[in-house]
Amino acid sequence: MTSESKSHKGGFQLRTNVDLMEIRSRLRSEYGCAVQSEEEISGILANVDRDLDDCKAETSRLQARIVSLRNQCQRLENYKACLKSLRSPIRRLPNETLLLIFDFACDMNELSSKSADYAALMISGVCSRWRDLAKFHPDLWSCIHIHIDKAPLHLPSFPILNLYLSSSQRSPLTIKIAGLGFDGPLNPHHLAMCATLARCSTRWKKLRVDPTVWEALTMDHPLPCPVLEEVAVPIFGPLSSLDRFQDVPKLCKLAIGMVTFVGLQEHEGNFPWKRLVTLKIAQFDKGMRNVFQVCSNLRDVHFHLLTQIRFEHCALPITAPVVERLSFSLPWTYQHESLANILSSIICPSLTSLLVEGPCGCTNPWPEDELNKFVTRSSFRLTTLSIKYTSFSDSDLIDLLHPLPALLHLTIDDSRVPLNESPITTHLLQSLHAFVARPP
Amino acid sequence: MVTLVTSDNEKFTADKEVAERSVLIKNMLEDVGESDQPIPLPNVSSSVLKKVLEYCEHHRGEPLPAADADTTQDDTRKRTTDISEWDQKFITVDQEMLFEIILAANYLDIKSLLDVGCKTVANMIKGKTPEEIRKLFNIVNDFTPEEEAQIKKENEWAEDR
Repeated sequence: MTSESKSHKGGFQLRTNVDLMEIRSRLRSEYGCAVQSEEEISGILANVDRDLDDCKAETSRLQARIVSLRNQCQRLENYKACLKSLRSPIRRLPNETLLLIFDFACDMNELSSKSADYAALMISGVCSRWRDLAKFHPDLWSCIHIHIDKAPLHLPSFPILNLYLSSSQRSPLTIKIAGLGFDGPLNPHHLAMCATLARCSTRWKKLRVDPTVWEALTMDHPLPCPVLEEVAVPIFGPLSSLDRFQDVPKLCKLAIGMVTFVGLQEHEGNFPWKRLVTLKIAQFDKGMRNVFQVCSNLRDVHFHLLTQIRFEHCALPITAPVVERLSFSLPWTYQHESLANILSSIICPSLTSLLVEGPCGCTNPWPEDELNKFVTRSSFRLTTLSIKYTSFSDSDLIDLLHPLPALLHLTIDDSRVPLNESPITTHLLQSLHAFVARPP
Repeated sequence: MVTLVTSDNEKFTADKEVAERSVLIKNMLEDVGESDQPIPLPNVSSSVLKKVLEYCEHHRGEPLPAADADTTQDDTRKRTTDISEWDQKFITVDQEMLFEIILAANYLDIKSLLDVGCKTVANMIKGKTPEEIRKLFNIVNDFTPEEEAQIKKENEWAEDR
């Protein structure tokens, strides 16, 4: 019934002959005087216990072996992954090329609710090489877009903003803050964020904020902004609203809302009017005459027409002597006289580009007469004409093109215009003549 | 016409105007003067040069960036990841080829092609977590435990309530 068990490497033999059929048969037959001696059973039981102990010991040994093999597998997998990673194509790029990629990827770090939008932070968490590159290139951290409704402003002192500000070191900052609208309330978190950003005003290079945020940022005005070049704040108010921009010697691009320039010459202050190259504005009145007189470098003017506001006509046309690029963006609905009034009120002798971008399917009347008179009155050499998403007739376009012999670039985008209101017709194409451009 | 010889010893002929979109080739041609001598490109394979020449052919005649382009222009160039429709189709290739094109554009000094390649990779990176980026580009996390702890902390700051 029993035999000696023998452990050996990788297995062992049982002492017990485990014959379950035989033992069951004995259970059914051995009773009364047929019962074997207790001594014999005790001996077998002792052997079974020893066999069980051996089994458990062997199980433990095998389990340890499995764990060891699993660890070995994991190590091999890791080693294989490292080897494969060594031949990953992206590793072949030199640092300067990888940095160019990072530059593109960090064009705007969105400090919103989704951490994956924090481009520089995500890049710095990939591997040691990427982290070193990101940490040693402050420019990657310098473009910050805060969406106030989504950013984790609840954390004390907004540590992620501080991380970006410290990682950007001394790099000029591009800051865009959105989400509050024109009259959104500022809570203590917003004010703390504004205070943090205001402390870096000497590094602001481009700033695009809502008026309420601007108010909070410039609470201790005037802030020194020695490198600020571009500001976009949709201010609606008097000229004095611009007093906050007193210490901005490099400002050359300004986008504002409705600010009247009547009285500009008396209210010049320290504002760098003469440096201004680009002006985007949602206002046109007689005060624009002052702008064109004072801003001797103003080359790019963009009028954003508003739904509710009718832009005034000036009886005596205003000359914009150095303006080279004039553009209009038309809202879905606008006072249709507004565009006509501006065109009939200005003379742009240096104009080379004229751009009109309408909304999808706007059907306001096209100011044909005013536009043609503007072209004749200004007698410019227009080289670029772009009209997008605006309904007007082919004959209007032909009349417009007629006095523009120097035109080099013509863009007519009718992609959002009803088919029967598009100026691109067979008649137009038949009337076009292209000439080989002669060098100037 | 210009003859170009690739690393795998294949010869390509291209219009001078097309080949000269590469500043490297343009400078080499200026150095050798009027000559029929083939130009060796030991860092570019034939499959990659074929793609590069396809790009240069499509963009033939377009203005080249000035060698002394000012920093403002450079700044504007870097701050957009828009890619034209044709370029997008052109650069829709597997990762191996994408990075080979980038390396070739860098070596041949074709700034616009380098930008298209780099913008494509940048767009692949945007909006992804570090783990997703590692998986995409087959990169191994090689941070020390200290760096890992610091990164974890920084990421906690970025999480919303």
